[in-house]
Amino acid sequence: MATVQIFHEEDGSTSTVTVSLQNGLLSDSLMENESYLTISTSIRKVDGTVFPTYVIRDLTDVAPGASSPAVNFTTLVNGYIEYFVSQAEFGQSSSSSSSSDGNSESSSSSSDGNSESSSSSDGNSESSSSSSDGNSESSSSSDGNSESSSSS
Amino acid sequence: MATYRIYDETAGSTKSVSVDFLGNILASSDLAFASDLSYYFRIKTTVRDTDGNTIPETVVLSLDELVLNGVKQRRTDTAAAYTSIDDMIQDYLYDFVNGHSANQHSSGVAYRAPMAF
Repeated sequence: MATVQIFHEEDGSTSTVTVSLQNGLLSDSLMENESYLTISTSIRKVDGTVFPTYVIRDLTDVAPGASSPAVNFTTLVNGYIEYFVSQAEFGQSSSSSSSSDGNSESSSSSSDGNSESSSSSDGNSESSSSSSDGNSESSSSSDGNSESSSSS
Repeated sequence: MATYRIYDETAGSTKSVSVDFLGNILASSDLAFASDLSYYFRIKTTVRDTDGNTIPETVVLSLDELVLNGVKQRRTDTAAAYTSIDDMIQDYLYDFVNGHSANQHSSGVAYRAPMAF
């Protein structure tokens, strides 16, 4: 198992991303014993909801928005870490507060508005992911949409 | 970490191979001294082969790292990359258990005896 610790310097908190090898049955497979990775994180989204646990069977199971297939497992895992951090908007509040206050507030409120709309799509994905974490492939596609909105 | 247990009905004994997914700095791939983390599978066993030799542990960084010198899959004599993590692990386990003849599948691999049960 690989555990990555991410230090958030703004509030001194530490988040983790965990990648773990599993061996067993998956609900959406042919009931054959299978080896696969799961990747999960303690990072919360902007709206406070949790990320689903993603299942990785091969190098095409990349993070939402990442190029597929990944070159290797290092690229694949780094893609997920980048996705989690960007979705949580780590560091964005510091950049906006350090710039001009008036403009940043108006721009941040508009971006917050977008993120709220994206959080509703996240809510949908969360409901699907909470019902079955194994169906991470379907939830990852919906997360991919939210990522494009939050990154803009 | 996942532990795969292999039972041999002739000998009546079970051996195990452990497979772990890790994130560390790899000495072999840190040639630029960047100290970047690499994520990889580590496959190892304490079991010896029938010649009494240890079976070297293996690091797999990507699905195109094939078990026989990186050029051939062990079971199927193909040069294509593994299509899944499951396929990759199965092939490496197969190689651990069965060993291989010298130059297996024209891969230039060195001879290694099968696992001793």
